[in-house]
Amino acid sequence: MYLTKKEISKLIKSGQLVIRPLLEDSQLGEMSLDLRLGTDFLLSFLGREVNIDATGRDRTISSFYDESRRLVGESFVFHPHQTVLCSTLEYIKLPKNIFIALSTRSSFSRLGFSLSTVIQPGYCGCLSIELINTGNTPVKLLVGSRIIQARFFKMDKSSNYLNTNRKYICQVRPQISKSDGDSDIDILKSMID
Amino acid sequence: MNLQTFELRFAQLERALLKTRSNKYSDKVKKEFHDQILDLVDQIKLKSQKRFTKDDIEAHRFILKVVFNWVEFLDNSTINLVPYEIINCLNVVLKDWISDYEDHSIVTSLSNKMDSYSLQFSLKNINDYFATQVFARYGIVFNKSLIQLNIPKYLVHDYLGNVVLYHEIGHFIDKQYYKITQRIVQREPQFSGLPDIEKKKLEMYLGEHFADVFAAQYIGLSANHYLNYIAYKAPSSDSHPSTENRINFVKDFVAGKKSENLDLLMNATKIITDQDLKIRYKKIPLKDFNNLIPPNIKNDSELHSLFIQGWSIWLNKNSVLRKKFSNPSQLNTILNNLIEKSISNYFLLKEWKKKNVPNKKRNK
Repeated sequence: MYLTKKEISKLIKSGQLVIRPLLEDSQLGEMSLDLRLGTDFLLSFLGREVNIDATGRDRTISSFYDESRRLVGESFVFHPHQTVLCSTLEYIKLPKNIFIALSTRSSFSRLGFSLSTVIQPGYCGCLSIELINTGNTPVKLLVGSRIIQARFFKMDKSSNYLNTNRKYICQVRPQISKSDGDSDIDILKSMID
Repeated sequence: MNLQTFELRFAQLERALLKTRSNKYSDKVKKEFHDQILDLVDQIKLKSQKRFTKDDIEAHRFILKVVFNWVEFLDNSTINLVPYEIINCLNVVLKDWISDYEDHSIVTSLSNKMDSYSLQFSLKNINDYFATQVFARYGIVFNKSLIQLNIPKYLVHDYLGNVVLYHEIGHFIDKQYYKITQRIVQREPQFSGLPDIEKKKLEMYLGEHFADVFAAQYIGLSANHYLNYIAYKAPSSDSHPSTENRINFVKDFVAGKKSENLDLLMNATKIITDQDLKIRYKKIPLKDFNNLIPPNIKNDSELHSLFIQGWSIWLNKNSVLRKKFSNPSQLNTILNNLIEKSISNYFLLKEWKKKNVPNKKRNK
């Protein structure tokens, strides 16, 4: 079930849905919640290796990213086709039966940004977002601006986010991909040994 | 020392400054300070160094030494590097104690050494000589001051470890700002007969106790927990009382117990600073931590208690989070993240309320 403003508002008031900080009530629209660009960034760069190796065999993925920080109100330039890992300014804790779908707000999609991802029920932390400027011109954005739209969906049954060993939990700044830490990587690699 | 070696150091400074010219800082004081350094170096460059006398070289050798040190700290205090959440907490402390806090800026140098937390002391006579020389030769006055803290590079986001910085700010308040312990030793009649070497040692001891108690006003016993690991069973030395002595001193203060030296410090602090050494934190409930939510902080007293509560969770084998997360490394990351987000939310919301204009009035 798709949640409306009234239902989302009710969840916030009851403390089942936590959003900190919620700088303005107007971030909550009729059918979605606007989320802001956070202060920390991980920028991909071309290093000495020819490729990122996500097979768990080579250098850690972190060696392909640089950290950068900004203050709220400062600007950040997204260069064409550069992968930028960032996070929302808001720390969110979802109820156990609600998941959210994230997309860029249409104003920012029109600048060349796109995002489509789902956040699981029970998740807690700032939301990691992978932004790529798909246009040909660098785009400067203000840190703290409302770039993301979250739509809320209710499930019939609850699920416990912490039941399994989570790779990303309570994060407050973007995290490097831990794709090379998936538990089945070793099995896959052993198949050709 | 000759002109050529001075020129070598000047060339090194120019090279270091070249890298820092586009630095972005989190506050105006650092930016103004940096601009003044650039101005000074530009003026030195314009002077005909070939005609420098021996005295000129000596004076400039000293000027460059001070400037190089400042550049090191400023370059490690850019927005990208400075741990501004903990620095913001320390700024709150400064506001409690000094009226001209806006003329001071906390800068950090990130050290490769573990546990290398310290306040870089700049001695008054050095500052005076520098100020005299720079004004006489170039008409430049540095009105602002840098409070220079060394922090281990790998512990920048470690809020349980960073409680030690409250102790270092205590040293700043005592030794560089009010000179509380120095005055105690000089003025209290019971110390007048002591040989100078004993007076110096006593001043050092009281200085450590002052910094410990100063920190405990804000973070309770938190620094004790860390001290008991990094200086475990350390005996007294020429500069520091034994770890056991320091820990007990803080315990007495937090428990409100009296002791001779504690009374001495508290009375002298009141007379010299017109401020009380007292408990200045108010513990927040653990509920939000336990629910993995960054606690909402309402005021400065609650802000400092984040560290106390972080430590209480960490030390308690039966805490809700200890039971939930058996991997200490994961729990440590979670605690640090919750504390950091809580601090940043507190300052952001404060600033937002100051600057925010209600929707109806916007765009008019």
